[in-house]
Amino acid sequence: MNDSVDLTNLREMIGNDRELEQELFEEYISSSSLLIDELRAYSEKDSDSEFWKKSAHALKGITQNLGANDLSELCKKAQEGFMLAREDKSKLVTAIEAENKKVLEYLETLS
Amino acid sequence: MSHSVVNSSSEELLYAFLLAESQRGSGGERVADIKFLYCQFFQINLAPTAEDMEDLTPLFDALHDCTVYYFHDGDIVIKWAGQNEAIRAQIIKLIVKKYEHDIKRFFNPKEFFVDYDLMDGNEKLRVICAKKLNKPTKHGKELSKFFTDSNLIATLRKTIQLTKMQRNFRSKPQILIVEDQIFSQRLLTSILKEYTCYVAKSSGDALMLYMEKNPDIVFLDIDLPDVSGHSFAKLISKIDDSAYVVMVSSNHYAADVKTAQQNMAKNFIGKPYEKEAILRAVENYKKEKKSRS
Repeated sequence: MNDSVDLTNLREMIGNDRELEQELFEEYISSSSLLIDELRAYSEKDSDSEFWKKSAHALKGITQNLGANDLSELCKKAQEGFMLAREDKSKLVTAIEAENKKVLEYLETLS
Repeated sequence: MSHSVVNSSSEELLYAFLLAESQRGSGGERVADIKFLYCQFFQINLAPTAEDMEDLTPLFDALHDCTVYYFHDGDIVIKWAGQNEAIRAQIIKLIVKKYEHDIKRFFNPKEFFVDYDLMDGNEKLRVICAKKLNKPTKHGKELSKFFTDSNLIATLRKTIQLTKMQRNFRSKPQILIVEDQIFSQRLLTSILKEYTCYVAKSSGDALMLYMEKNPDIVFLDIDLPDVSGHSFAKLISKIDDSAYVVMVSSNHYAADVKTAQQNMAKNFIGKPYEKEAILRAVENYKKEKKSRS
């Protein structure tokens, strides 16, 4: 466990299956990167608010299951703030990117 | 330099282009060698009218191997081949110089340009375009109509009544997981590894699997790419009196829980998943089945 990720619940769910754990980490790295790219793209047009909301929701789901609690809170803010101004969305994505970087760095130490 | 005015949206063109590239065999200009720069002129009230075109076109005249697409909503996509960073810098410089006042009024100039090449692979760009084009939702609208068609519901109901008997002969319940995120799918299948699990990533796929496999339990996410999990649960409650649906979602807001109850869902499990809660849902199903028999 570190400040960004608490794997206690995840490990309880999958037992001692290290192979599956690595598979899940890889899936997380790929999905989170894609969803954050989507958030960045959707933050640029007000008309994409619904897509923004969906991507934030999807990211919230996987971060919750991973145990990335701070990141999950940011995603919740993003999901609920889907009508925010572009500038605020942009700041939120930057914060999400920064927090996700910490998560990825931690996962890296476990591989 | 060439340029054209496109009636579709920038996403439509990019999506079609990337799709064609992904289907092309070896040889030819590979999409990996192509760069896209995307500007949003509509934000500064510059829809590409003929007049605007006259203003903008000379900006790109000096650039070779470069195609500029103007879109009806004011987007501009500039495409060029190769790794020539100088072209990108030149384009940005020209546009910022020409529209400095408007751009600075609304944007940090650095944020005015979206460089699709920075998205680390064109597959991502294709997915983003597909979503922006509302492709799943367009399909979802058709599917929503299908889900509420009374004739269809009657037919599905008859089919289920004829086939659901097979559930009585199973020693263990079979489970349908409806979840579009692979990460969460894998977690659920891992927790439920002692059971036969079928996985669907959309409501459309889930309906097909439901009719084909007659699952005993459905773990159903709410936010799905085509039709929401709530709509799927509602359909299932209409066609199958013995349906056993457990909603799983990170949206455990009161309104979602209430809708789930209205759709006869047996339980609502929030994310993060807890192994105990998932397995308890299966045990509850077994108890209910036993009390019925």
